[in-house]
Amino acid sequence: MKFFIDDLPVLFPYPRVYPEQYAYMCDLKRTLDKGGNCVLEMPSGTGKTVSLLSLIIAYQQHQPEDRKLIYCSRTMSEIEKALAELQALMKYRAEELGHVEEFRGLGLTSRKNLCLHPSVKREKSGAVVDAKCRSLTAGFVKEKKEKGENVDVCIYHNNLDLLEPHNLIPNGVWTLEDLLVYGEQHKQCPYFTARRMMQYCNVIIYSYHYLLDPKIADRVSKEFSKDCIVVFDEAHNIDNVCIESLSTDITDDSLRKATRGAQNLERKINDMKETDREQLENEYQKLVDGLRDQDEARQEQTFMANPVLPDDLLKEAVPGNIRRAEHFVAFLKRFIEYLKTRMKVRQVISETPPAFLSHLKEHTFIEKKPLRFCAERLTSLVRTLELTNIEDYQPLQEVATFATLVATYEKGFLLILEPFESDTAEVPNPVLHFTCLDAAIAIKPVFDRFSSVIITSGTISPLEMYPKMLGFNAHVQESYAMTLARRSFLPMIVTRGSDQAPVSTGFQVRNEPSVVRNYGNLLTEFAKATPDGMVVFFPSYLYMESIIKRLAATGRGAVLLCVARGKVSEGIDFDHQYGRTVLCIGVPFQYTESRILKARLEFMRETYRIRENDFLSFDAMRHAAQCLGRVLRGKDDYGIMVLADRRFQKKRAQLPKWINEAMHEVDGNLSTDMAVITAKRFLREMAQPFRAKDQDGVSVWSLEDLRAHQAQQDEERIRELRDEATSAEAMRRKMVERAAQNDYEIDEDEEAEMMEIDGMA
Amino acid sequence: MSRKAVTSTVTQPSNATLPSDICPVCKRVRYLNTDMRFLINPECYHAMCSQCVDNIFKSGPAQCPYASCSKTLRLRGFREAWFGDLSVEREVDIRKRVAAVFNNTQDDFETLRDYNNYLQDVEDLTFALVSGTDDERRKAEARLVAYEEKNKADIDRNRKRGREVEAARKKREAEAEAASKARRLEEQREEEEARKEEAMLNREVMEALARGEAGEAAQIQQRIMAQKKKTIARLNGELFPRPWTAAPKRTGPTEDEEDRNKPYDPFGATDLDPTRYEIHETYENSWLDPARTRDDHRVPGYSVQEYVTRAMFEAFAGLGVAIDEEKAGAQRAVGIAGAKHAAQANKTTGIISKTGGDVFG
Repeated sequence: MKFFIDDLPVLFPYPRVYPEQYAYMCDLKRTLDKGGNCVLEMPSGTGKTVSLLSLIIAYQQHQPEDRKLIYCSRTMSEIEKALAELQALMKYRAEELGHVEEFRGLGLTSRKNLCLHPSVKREKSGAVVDAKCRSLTAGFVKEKKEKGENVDVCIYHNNLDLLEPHNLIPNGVWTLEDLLVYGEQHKQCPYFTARRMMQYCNVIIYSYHYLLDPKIADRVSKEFSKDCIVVFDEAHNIDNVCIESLSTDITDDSLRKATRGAQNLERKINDMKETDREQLENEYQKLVDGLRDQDEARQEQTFMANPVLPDDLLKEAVPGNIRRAEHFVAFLKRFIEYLKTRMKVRQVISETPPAFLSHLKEHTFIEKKPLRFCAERLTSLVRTLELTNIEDYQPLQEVATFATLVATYEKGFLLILEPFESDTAEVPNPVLHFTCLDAAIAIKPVFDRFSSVIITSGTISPLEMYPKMLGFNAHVQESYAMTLARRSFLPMIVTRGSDQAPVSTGFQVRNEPSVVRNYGNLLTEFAKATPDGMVVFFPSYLYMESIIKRLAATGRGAVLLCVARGKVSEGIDFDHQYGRTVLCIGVPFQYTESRILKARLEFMRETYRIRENDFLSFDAMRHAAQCLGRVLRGKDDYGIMVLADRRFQKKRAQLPKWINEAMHEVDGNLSTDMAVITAKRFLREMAQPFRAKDQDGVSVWSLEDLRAHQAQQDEERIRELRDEATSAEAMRRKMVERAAQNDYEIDEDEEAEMMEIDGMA
Repeated sequence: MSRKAVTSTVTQPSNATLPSDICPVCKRVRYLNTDMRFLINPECYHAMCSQCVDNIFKSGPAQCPYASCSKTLRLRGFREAWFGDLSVEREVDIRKRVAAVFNNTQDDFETLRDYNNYLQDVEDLTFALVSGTDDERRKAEARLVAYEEKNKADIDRNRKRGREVEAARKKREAEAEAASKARRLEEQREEEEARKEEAMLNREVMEALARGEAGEAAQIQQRIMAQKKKTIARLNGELFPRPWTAAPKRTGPTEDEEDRNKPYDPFGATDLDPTRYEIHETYENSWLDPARTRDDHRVPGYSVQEYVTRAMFEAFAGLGVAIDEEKAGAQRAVGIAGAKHAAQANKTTGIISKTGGDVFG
């Protein structure tokens, strides 16, 4: 259907639209018009992706300037889904407009998924594929080939050079599958096609990491202009992604491998000194002059990029004491040895980067500045040495990245050394966690660079938390309720068992027989009442086991038992008969004894004034909401959502608006037997025939309904304006009256005259 | 034994890593001696267990027990190695010595390039000392000594400065730490208070209920609960505004924020330039001339311009405010005529101001 939002013609690929989709698009447009960021929460299964795409494409095509859309999602399957939606949308647009628009949409994923090279694509691990690919496609390999040396190259990659660089693939929307097929047909590398064509695309769909992980973002997403529209979909975990992308763990093993890597480097340098001294000399000269070549070929092939460094630093010359290759390798070795010694300590240590640096300086005479250049310098060295088996240097690269990060950031990071895996472990297995505490650091460049960033998900409540944690200003924050023709899902909170004893997975009571028995009963009762599949989430594996042990398994249909925060709770949908009931046993709190979590809580308290308990509760509730969202995947679906813990009663307000609004007041504090009765009644209602027609005009709008709504809104606005006008009129009249009483009031004419006088003076 | 002598005679240690379980000299194993420690002497960096050290060197200097080593060692020189890799241990010892001499910072150089060249120079020298051939090492050693002799004053100054910077940094850190600790304590105290308050109110409710008349329970509870909510909200809200209770729906830059972004203006956007007259460079005036030309007027700093500006300001300050007219006008019902009159008056004064010089005439 085609409709207008203000003056923007929107082509929507379905004959009907949900009211919340319309509202969502209106708010999106408002954000795009104004520029700025927004946080939008829209219930799962209500066509978020398609409304997002159709509005933004409409906006792109309508606007004279070319604003690229960067759409980031979390998993491969979500990326695939979005690409398919986009393809359908563009097809519909072409039919509707009568011509195919000048448009290119591409998805990007790792080399592992896009490789065609017969031997490389057989590899299982992504890192190995990356390394092997680089060894076949690096610039110096090609040079060698041209010189007539016998080296392996990738024919798929080389074929790209024969094509026009800005037209490697024709217009249109290419799903990952399409890309592979096209690549096979034309014998060209799909990965590099996508990478190189990114600048010439209208829409790019890829994973968060390409934008948030500074190690990749620098290479992949550098060329995008400021007016790009950036969308983070399924963004409820975005803060964790940010934090993970800047955190590293160093173990004894990785240090051993890094030492080996450094030794290899040393050997290579010595070899090169004998055979090809000139190359090293060239590199050295370049570093002296502070040149940082920006050519594109390099961008694709670099072994690693520099984690977020300020631009001025990147332009600065590499410090003199690590300019020479052998100096630098000795420097690395010293640093690794230092880390090894630190790892020998048998007690937990947590220190800030400045403390670490000062200790480091005291023992190894390594200054902050060369440390900061570590990653950059290693990249340059690897390039100079023309190393091909790059995967061997992965651990060394990790250490170098760590060095750079620790020397760059004073605040927002913490080093935690844990010598034992658990409190009871006897054999030491030390891990040095370099952990980022501030989610805002990784995402800051994104907010700084792009004028419109849209963060959206099905469960992103409370909305205010995200701007606070990620350090941005949201111009629009909106949560949409779900419009329903009938009450198609039933959220409930069970606080007591049938015997009225409260149930909770709180630490003190979780193992009491009455609690375990009541959870067991709840499970069996719901298994009996639910006609189809049922999903049960537990707060931990241990607890799941302890409940199941005491559970006499009964019930029809399948019951899937899983753990909240696990894979199931995020990625897999249980639509229709696969999931009728979701049972969330206990509040899925994080493991609060983790030192990393404690440090982060402390940091947030100090920096963002977010209280520990508030954050933990927020985090638990977003996971609970994710679990609940699993069963309802659309408006024709129905399901029961049960939150079973006494503590949920107080946390109701933190549920997403659409769940919270659908929960009746009486359902907020039920015992097991009452909950089962309510569920049975609900299922009986759901069993009544329900025609799609019943939804029309209420939860599904046809074009007429939409027009009616728009007309009504316009009318309202007119009325509002008129009201305003009349009240303004009244105000003015009042003013005039008052003026009449007041002699000192000067009216407009005289004022003008007086101004004239001033002018003359 | 001085450090200088140490490093100049050191050769590469034969086994690079610190042994972990077996003493290379007496072959004792850690399995039977759990408290085994390994010591090294920076003379030759050969590791041996502490017992061996005691046995061999207690009675005075002796030769290193390693077969290939002919160094004479003393008990005093032994210490524990910090690094597992003894070549790094040795390198760091050398660096320590070099860093004590070459201790310039970036501020001592005019350009970054000079500084980088200096750094590389030092690194080359260190490298020669660490892994150079005998000849290279000797040369580097000589250079180091020469440099130290030559720049003694600078080195001392830099060392002092380095210590000061370090002390300042430590102080700053300690202060920040203390402040954060204090803040933390304060928060804890306030939270504690809030909790106490709540407990007290609960008790109050119970007591009031116990004392109260039958049938008034609901009112009593309501009253106290209202009070309770207020106090708790105050205590909580001040400390931590909860993200999901407060928060306006739509946020944008408020007017207040926009104001804040402007540069500070002490006069609140008041224009101080005269509008009704203009000030000329000079005014012909015989009694002002001496003030303008004679040194005994000028030297103390008397400014004719200042006087003129002020005189003009005072002359025109009252214009536009015609009190008589306004007083008269106040009796009339409509004020417009009065204002017109005032404007008329203005016009006439305005004309005077055009020939403003006459004021001093």
